[in-house]
Amino acid sequence: MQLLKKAKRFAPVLFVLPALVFYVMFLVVPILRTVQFSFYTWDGASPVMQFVGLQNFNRLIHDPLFWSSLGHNLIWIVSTIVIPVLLGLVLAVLLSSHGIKGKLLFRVTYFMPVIVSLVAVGIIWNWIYHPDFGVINQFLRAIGLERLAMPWLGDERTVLPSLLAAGSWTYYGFCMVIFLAAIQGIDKSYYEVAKIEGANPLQTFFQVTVPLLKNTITLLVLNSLIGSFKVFDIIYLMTKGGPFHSSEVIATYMFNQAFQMNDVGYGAAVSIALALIIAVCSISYIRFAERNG
Amino acid sequence: MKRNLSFAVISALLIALQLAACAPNISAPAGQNGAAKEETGSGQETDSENSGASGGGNVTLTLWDPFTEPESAKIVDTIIKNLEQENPNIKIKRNTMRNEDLRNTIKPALTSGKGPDLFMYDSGPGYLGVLAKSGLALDLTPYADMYGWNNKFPKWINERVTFDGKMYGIGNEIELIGVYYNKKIFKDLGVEVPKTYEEFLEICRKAKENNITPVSFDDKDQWPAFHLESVYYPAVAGKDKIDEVLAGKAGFDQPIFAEALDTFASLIKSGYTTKNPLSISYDDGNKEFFSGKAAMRITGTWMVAGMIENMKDNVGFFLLPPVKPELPLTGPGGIGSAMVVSAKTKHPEEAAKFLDFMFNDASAKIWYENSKIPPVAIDAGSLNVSALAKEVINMANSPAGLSYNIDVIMPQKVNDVTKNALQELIAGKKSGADVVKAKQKALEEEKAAGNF
Repeated sequence: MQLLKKAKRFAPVLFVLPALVFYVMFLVVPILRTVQFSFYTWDGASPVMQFVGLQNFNRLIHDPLFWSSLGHNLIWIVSTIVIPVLLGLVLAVLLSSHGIKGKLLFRVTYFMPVIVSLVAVGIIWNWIYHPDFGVINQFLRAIGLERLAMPWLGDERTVLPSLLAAGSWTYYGFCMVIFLAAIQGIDKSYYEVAKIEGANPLQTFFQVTVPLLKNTITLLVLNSLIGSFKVFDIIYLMTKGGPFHSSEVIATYMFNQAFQMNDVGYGAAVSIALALIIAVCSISYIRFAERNG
Repeated sequence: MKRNLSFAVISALLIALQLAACAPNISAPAGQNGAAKEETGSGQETDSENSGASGGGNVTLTLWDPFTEPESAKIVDTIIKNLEQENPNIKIKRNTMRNEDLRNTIKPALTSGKGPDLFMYDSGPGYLGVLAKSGLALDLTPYADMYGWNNKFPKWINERVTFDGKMYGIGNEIELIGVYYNKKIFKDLGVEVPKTYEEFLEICRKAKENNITPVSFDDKDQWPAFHLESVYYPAVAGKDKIDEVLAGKAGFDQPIFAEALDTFASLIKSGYTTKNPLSISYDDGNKEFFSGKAAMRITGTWMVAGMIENMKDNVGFFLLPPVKPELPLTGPGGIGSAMVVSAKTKHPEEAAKFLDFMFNDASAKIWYENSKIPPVAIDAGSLNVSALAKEVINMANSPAGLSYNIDVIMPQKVNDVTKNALQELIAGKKSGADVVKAKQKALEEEKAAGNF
């Protein structure tokens, strides 16, 4: 009897065990190992790692490339929160209002970029930005604005905005769908009241829709925040952080240090720093959102 | 009770799984039957297998290589077939992957003990050097003595795979950097292969006048500029100056190297190269040349097959004439990669035997006829290859004239600094002097860290 009771207590553990094992093996262990690596100098191959204490972190603080990469991340964050989230919100509100025909077509069209694999996105936008046969430059030349035809990904002034445009293109559809779902959950009576009170569409948007979407906005802003801090794929695919580090972000810098420069210890330190920054920013934002909610 | 039992069983299984994952060196229990194991060997299986050392003496070696294109894959496949015919007890299991994937997987694979027995890997200090230092690559010196590799392969090639006086591989592809030219464009412009740098510039001027890009050049991928660096150093400073730097007697931060880079940069400033090189990829640069929009392209001999495929016999190759007329004509050369044996292989003898077989005279011919230059000299006249390939083979087989493919020799961190500085040079933001200064600083840091 006693045994059965004990077994019963263990039953839940048993059910989560397979998942837990994978979680521990593929997440917890690598995280702990990364923390460990950050205190060592290691080339990724040698059987011996040399303990260097906080030296990697000290180097990080004095590394101008780390700070400029972080700066690029901040630009990415602000832009990603403003452009795709805002665009997603506006589109969602428009597509849930009455009187718009072919809603399904619009929804599908706007959502399409989200399901395209990022590798394909990288290749396509590389073509779009190509200085000779790219659509943008060809269009500019065709309408007589040759002066504005730029080597978009080859100029340090245009590379980050160009990458941002491509990145936002893959993300705004996602924001739109989340907002659409949330809008559908808003009780219609709020709008009826607003109508009776004589609110115009703009007032309804700001006084009814936006406040009721607060939780969704928090979610998407948080998602953008974290996503922007760890943005890697699209930049690595399109510019690898170049030209001369002008589109380098922390994730590409970390990858470069750990896997191309054989400096696993420093790469680990960079990723720990990134994780800490994300944690601090996320917690601060959640606190802020809760207080204002 | 039943539940308790299953819990115990599952826990035991999971613990076993954990142990297996944590201790990669503990290999799975080997099958009893060698033959049965042979059959189960799918392409997925990559670990070094001892297919029954107790059985019929059969040995299976795994090989990882980046020869994914059909032409280069044929080299390895044919050589393996020949070897297996002559040595029925040796089986080679080949696993191909993109070079980048190979680079990213090889270290964890080797440290876990599940890596290949043999693999093809970059020969520089940032690649093979790291494996040599960490004891993951097998010291091949005894086999070099046994098979006479020291006399068989040119000294400069063996030097590139030797670290701390020990040989860790066989350099398997001689690469030479020079100028490919479009024969038809040259004919239309009424010019011939330049004998002096002045003549080269004259061709550029004429091409530009005729709205043809003189030199197709790109650097979005960040490495093509290395080749121009490697071309202009010997052309302006001379190979001896580079030798001094490599021997540690001098640094790159000398006015003569700065001048070399400025000479290269002036080519861009004069409008003699593709516009906006920093936004054009290497593949797009090749396409520009293939499509006849550019008269010349400065790149390596790994492109010979691609050139012939796309341009047939409309393409020729020459070495950039020295900028300083008193210097000899020379082109940068190096080895693309090396064949390496894992230190953890269970069959070092067979692996070394395969290496030796891979570069015997019969195999060398296979390499040559599939547009790769092995480290074995051959009479190009006897080969069934294109005129371009013959031209290139003859140039590559005169090692006295070869200079260095600098980025292959330098540590990764020096390359990282250099490639970004070169991009700034191309963008007109830095001078040659700034670049060589940054490069030398990085080199000194790497020397201090014991990486060079």
